[in-house]
Amino acid sequence: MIALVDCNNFYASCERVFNARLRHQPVVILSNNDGCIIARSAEAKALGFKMGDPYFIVKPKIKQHNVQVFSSNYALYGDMSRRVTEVLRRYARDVEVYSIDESFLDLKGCYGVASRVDMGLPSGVAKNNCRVASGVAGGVALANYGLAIRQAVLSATGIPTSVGLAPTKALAKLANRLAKQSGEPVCTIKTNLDIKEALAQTNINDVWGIGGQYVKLLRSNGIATALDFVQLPDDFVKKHLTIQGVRLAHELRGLPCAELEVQPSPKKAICTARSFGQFTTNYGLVKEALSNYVANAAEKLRKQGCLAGALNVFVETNLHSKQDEQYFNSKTVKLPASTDDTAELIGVAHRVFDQLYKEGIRYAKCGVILKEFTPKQQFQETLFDDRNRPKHQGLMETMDKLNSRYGRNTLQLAAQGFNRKDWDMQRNMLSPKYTSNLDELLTIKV
Amino acid sequence: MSPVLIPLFNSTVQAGFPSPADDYLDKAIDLNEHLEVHKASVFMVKVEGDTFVTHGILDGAMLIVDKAEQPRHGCLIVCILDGEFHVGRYFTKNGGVELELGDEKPRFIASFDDFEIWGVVKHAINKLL
Repeated sequence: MIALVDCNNFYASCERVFNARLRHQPVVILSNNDGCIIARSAEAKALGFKMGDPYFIVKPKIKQHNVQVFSSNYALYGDMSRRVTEVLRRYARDVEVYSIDESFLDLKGCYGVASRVDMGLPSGVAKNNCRVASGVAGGVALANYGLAIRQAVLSATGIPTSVGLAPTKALAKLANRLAKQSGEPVCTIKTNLDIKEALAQTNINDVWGIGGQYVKLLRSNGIATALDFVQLPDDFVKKHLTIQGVRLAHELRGLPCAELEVQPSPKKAICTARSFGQFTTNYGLVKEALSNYVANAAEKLRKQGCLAGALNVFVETNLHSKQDEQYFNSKTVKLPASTDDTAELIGVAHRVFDQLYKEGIRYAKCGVILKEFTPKQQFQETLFDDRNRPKHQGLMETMDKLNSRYGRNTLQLAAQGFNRKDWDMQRNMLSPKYTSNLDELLTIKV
Repeated sequence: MSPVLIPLFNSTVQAGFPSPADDYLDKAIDLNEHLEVHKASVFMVKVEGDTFVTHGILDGAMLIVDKAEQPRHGCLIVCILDGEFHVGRYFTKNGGVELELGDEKPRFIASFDDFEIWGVVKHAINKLL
């Protein structure tokens, strides 16, 4: 059995844990640079605010309805997500953290034991061999387990969740959606009848894994629900939706095909790019911001244990501006030797940037992409390499250790500058970092 | 006076005896572990004001609060009353709940009250210097 647990209105819920006055008010959370809406509470949804609504456009409506607005407090959301995941681990054999607010749980062995205990049977039985009576008793026990998971997360963190339980990942996703639709905290799909009913109630648009183009194709073939979809012959599905589509069909029929991804797969490219807090023509500022993005990307590269063989830099103006001269330029260079050294990468990025920079342009964003990775152990020495690599390796290791212990950017390269405010993104409505900064704790007056 | 030749040993030697404590070494005390600071349900909260001085909580103290802990009669809790955060003493009486906020007399919490227990205060850390 698989459970899909997802947090209800996660970002808004995180804010509400530490600010009780938000509980019944409409709340929206904005993206980087306070650009557009990326999260809404149920009340805000009901008022008609949509995901992606640009803040400056909906600001009057926000004021009119007294909607509470927050910048994304990723430090807080990330920490709350960690706590939720920790609670979930107690209830599953394995957990796949699918996104910041959604996880798949492998319940093999866990739920079986729990339900035997529920039914008053002795629990000292080999976990995998638990055969629970199907039908009502089994279904109720499963649902109770889902409720227990939800209650544990709520009591430990204050975050409300919806739980979908089913034999496969795709069906668990379906069940979760049905739970949300019906307003119930938990939905179980256990028997074949359950599967059939759930599929019949699900529109083909709403099936996880079937994107826009495929939906169009299927609709034109008379497929309207998930049930219609699973009744298609495998040959047809394979031809039009590839083998992935066939796997999805099998999963929806109740046959597990997808394993839980317990380890995230290593990235093949790392990109760090941000829009600036304000547009700038200043060469020095853009270069400084770029240095920081390179440092950030390099840190991620080292965490992955890879070396980059190529580097791309790009700069662009504000694409929405009508009066600014539009400029986009980018260039990729191969590195003389594969490296993960921040200083070396910044040096290369600077040289590339000098070729891209144009006077008089109001830059809105820049970024770096590190590519052509090789594993660190496979480093190849080159004939003309004159860099003292072991020495710089030691420097990078020390820097990473200090930054990990004392906080981001405790130690950085001079090129990264001393005042992030010159170009760092705007986050004017940030709530306190309640769980990661001792100076920003929830304070109670007594 | 004639010089005295003293032999110089060119190789290093382990100095001293092995420590008698080696067989009894324990790992160092870890306060994070003791206060359960990294537990999923444990949060830190700051207190401003000296209403709870008699309970051992000074102005500016940091409270270690466990959201998953069940409150017991007489314990200190962080709660939300009418949309505001409070620290109070929790009492069970005749199946009901009474809350004592600071110096005031305990008040009965009715089922229609806008009241929620946020967590139980397990430790208070007072900075004295």
